[in-house]
Amino acid sequence: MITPRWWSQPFPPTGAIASEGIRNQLGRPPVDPLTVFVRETAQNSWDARLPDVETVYRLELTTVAPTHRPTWERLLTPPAGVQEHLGVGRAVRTPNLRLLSVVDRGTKGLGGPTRADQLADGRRDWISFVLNVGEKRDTTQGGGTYGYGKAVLYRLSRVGTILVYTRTADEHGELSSRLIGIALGSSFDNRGRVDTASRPFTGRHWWGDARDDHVEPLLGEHADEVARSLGLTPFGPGESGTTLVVIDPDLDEFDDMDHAARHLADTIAWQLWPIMLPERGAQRLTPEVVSAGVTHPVPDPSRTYPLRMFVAAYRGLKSNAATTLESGNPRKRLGRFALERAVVVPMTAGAASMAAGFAGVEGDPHHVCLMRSPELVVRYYEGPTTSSVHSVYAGVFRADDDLDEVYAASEPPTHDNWVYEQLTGPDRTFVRVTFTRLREQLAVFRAPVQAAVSTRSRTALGAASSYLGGLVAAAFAEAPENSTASAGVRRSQGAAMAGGTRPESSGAVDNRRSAAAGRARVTTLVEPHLEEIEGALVVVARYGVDAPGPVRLEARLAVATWEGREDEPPAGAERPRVSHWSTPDGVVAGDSCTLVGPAEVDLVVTPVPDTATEIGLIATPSADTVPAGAT
Amino acid sequence: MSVLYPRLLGDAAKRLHQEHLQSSITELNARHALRHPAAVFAATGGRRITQEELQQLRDDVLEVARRAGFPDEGRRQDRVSFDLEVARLLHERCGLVAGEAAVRPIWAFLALVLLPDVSYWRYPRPPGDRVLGTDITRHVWGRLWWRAHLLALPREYDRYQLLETFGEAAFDQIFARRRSIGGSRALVRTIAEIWPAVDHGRVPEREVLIDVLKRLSRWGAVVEFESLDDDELRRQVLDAAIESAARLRAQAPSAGPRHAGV
Amino acid sequence: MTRVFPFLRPPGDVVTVGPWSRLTPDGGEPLPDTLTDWDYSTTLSLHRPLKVDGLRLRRLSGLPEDAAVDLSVQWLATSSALRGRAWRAELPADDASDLTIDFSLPGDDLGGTLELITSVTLRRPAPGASMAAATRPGSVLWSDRQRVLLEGENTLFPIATADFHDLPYPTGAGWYLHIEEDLEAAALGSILLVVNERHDVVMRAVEAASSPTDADMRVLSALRADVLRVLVERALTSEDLTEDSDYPIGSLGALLVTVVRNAFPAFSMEALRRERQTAPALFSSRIQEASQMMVSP
Repeated sequence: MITPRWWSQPFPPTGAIASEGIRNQLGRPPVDPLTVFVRETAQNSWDARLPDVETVYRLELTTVAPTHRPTWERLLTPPAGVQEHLGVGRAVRTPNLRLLSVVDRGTKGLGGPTRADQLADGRRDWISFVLNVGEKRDTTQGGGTYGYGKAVLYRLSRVGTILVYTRTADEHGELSSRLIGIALGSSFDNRGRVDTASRPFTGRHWWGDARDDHVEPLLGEHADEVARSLGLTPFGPGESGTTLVVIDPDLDEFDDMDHAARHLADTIAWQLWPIMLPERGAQRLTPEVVSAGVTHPVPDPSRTYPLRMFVAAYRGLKSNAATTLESGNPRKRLGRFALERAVVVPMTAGAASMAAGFAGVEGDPHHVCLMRSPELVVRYYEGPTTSSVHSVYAGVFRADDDLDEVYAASEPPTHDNWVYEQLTGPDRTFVRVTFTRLREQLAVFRAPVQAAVSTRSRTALGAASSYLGGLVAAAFAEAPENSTASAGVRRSQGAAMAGGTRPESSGAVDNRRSAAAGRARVTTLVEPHLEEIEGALVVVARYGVDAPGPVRLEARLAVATWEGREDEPPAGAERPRVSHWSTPDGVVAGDSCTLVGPAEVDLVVTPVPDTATEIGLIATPSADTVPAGAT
Repeated sequence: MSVLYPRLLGDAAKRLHQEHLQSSITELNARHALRHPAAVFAATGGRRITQEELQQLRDDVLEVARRAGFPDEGRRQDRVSFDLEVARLLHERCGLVAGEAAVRPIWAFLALVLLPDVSYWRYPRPPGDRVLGTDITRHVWGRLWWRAHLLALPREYDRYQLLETFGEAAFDQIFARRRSIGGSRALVRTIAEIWPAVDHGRVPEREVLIDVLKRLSRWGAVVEFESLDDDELRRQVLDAAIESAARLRAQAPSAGPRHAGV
Repeated sequence: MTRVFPFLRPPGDVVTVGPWSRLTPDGGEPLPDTLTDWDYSTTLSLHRPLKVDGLRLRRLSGLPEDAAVDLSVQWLATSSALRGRAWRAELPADDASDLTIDFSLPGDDLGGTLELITSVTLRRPAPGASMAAATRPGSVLWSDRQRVLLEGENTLFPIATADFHDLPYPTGAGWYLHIEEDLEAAALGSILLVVNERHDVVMRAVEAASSPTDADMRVLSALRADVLRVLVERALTSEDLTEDSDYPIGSLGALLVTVVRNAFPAFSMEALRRERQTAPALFSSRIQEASQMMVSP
């Protein structure tokens, strides 16, 4: 039994790419490492998909269980000489070590030779993923033009270290497992150490079956056994695929793992939706996000606003509603473009998910999703905003398969843009013109919303009629209001009626001001509302009498009806009545009460079930009325 | 596609009515026409009715009228069946949409230009609103079309089976609430559907209906009847009707201690 | 008067309504206050997004979380006074549901002002509800209404389409303006523009008049110029028609006089008649100018 151990790569005499170089291959600083992580790993999984089975793409956020931790420490601690250059040694000694794993199944795993210096006619997955960096791929319609994707794995790990556990068919078709660890640190030399010859190292380290000048993976049952002792997700019988484990991922910007998991789920929806759609059948990616054993559902792109608009546009690509964009000189089909418009309630500020923001769609959409043959999201290209916040659109442009290589060549290593500047000749023109055509397509949104074509089953001539109406308008404009001609034309039947509407009336209080003593001012302090008092439902309102002196208040109650107010109740039916008034001087019964202002009074009304009560209050200054009494 | 009818507007209609009032049925028969110089059409929204179609409509109505005794005075019962038959005929054959049928001047044209003889036979010496386009719910033809429209059942074999449910005076109560209950075809149909199940004893049908409409009007201020399923709507309308009938039977002086049959 | 409902109703903000919009083949446009191009043959496809806090709505209505509550839309037309239900869906017991109202409304029963009433109603009494909660099915817990005027104040011009093959007009013509003889008759019963259904270009322009392309606009402009020309010539060839003629308001005669006066305010009818006789080409150009033919708006 081989005990796996770390091996550090020295610079060969002819030189090699230093690990800084690899880590920097991602180019400009990524906006969100997790977005890049999801895009790159999903693309790897998608490229490795087996035919006729759904591709499972699962992200697992876990911590190393206490039972497994001693194994991690025993097996993964680097030799003393490189410990300061290989942070994984520190990591495996910390409790609750976090892991972020990418588990793909229904994929073929990483196969082919395990040494880069072996000639390989067939698969080179292992070599290109584990050993070589920056090698051209030959996957048909592969998403990644260059295999730079893995760099993000090392960047995401705070100790630059990942484990690769894969099961793949060998040349005889037998499934066999492989397990290896890879770390990318900084290049270093061990000058100053006395225990070994001094020489420079590239900063690349492998963990596994270490030989003199390279590392072989742990193989077969031995690999499975070690993987099991580390607590890695095992393979089922007959299952192939790959598990990548990022050790100690940097999740500092999240409050907790759940938060990170939700973000991963959203990111999957935003970045991978085209390959998730159910109409693809088995040719489809099934994503999952699991954090500490809890599944976080990935939002359904065809149901989640605003993604569902992109989905609708995408689905429209094949229909007549879509447009083919072309370049004029040289003449060439560039791709198909479809647009989905909607009128919406605008999203509140900050309502967009982080994932949407990182995708570049920070609110209501006015974007076009760019994609090419692998149907992975390249980017969301921002178009002009419309003149109304209620009016939004989402488009999809899918590059023509004939030009797939051209667009691919224009992509930076992160595959998240098309940059014509890095191309030459006609290719450069095609990519540049693509954006010109998109701007043309979206130009209508710069203008104010145009009256769109009306939907109707039969020819409607109203618009043409009113256009011509201007010619004869003057002839009718002079006619009096009830002119025979114009009345007929407008088909009007007079003003809208009150019945059937339920007018919300204001001015609950009718202040009757007599010329002599018109100072009885009553204000509604608390609008009439429903209250439950001693097991009975009552309507209570509070009024304030501002003016000094006696004021007579009279409540006018009625049942509100469909047409307005009820005059005569149905046979034997109840009517609302005043229960009492609560005045500063005590409770008064009856429809009216007189009190001396300034004062406040509660009116308590007993309503009739299932009817609305109309309450009016009439206030009369009453120098000559009897104080505080009933009617 | 909707059919557009000629519209006879105010002054011209009034003038014709004044002339017609002085004329005999025979004179009116001679005076009928398929067009009138003062008639106008809606600018758009459908196709204009043809002269042939107007002639056909006149012939159809005349035939029903003859069966009811036209041009002689005839019996009252005959006029009831004439109304029901014409209601159905107008609603079924005119190709009118409700929007157009709500335009009063088209009814003035039918009453005063196309069918003056039958109109003045059905209502001898009529008050203006029977023939002018002032109030459709009083109009000799308009009220019939609208009665059929409010009671017609969608998708039923016998679409007009509810037409006979109410007498004219009772249905006027629904017309009186055209802007509320009378605008809801669902509600009007439901009232008609449950009506045979209501025992109004000796209380006149019209009084019971008035009371039911009052109850529904109360609820209508807080309830959206259109949001209800048919069954629930029927239950609420039936509740109101049973309550009204019971209360009114109990109040009716002649009801006394007599047991009301169900 | 203040109206008080007999049951608890939640504050209005439990429902956040989006704007009504009218769907068109390539998306949608916000529903305007006035639909000038509406007629009976128009089917309106209406659409409205909204967000509802179904839990808070139930809680503040005194209802238990599992109470059956509906969201529905009723329409009401002022001209026909008819009303009906356009759409209904169950309101989820969810603290943030995005719902989309979506239905088609045929024009048959409509006219005048269309009211769209969005309401949240109780579907059935809920056991465990508060005493002050609504119990009668259909009780309106929340509602909102929007009005749309279906016919604008624009004077409409009588227009119809027909296959000229069936009519005594030249089969290849684009349109024919029919004008009756009787100058005393009501103008709108006397004129009718008939567009030839066989003429694709003209038909397309007429159908697209609510949002014409530049090409459609040019066709419509030519159409309007020609209609004006026919009306003016009809006026000028009726020798008895003068500025002083006393035709009833709304009659064809009055309309023709007004059309000429508006088109050529600086000319007397007599002067126009003379020019039409002696310098027809000049007169034709005058019509072009008066009708602003091919002038960009």
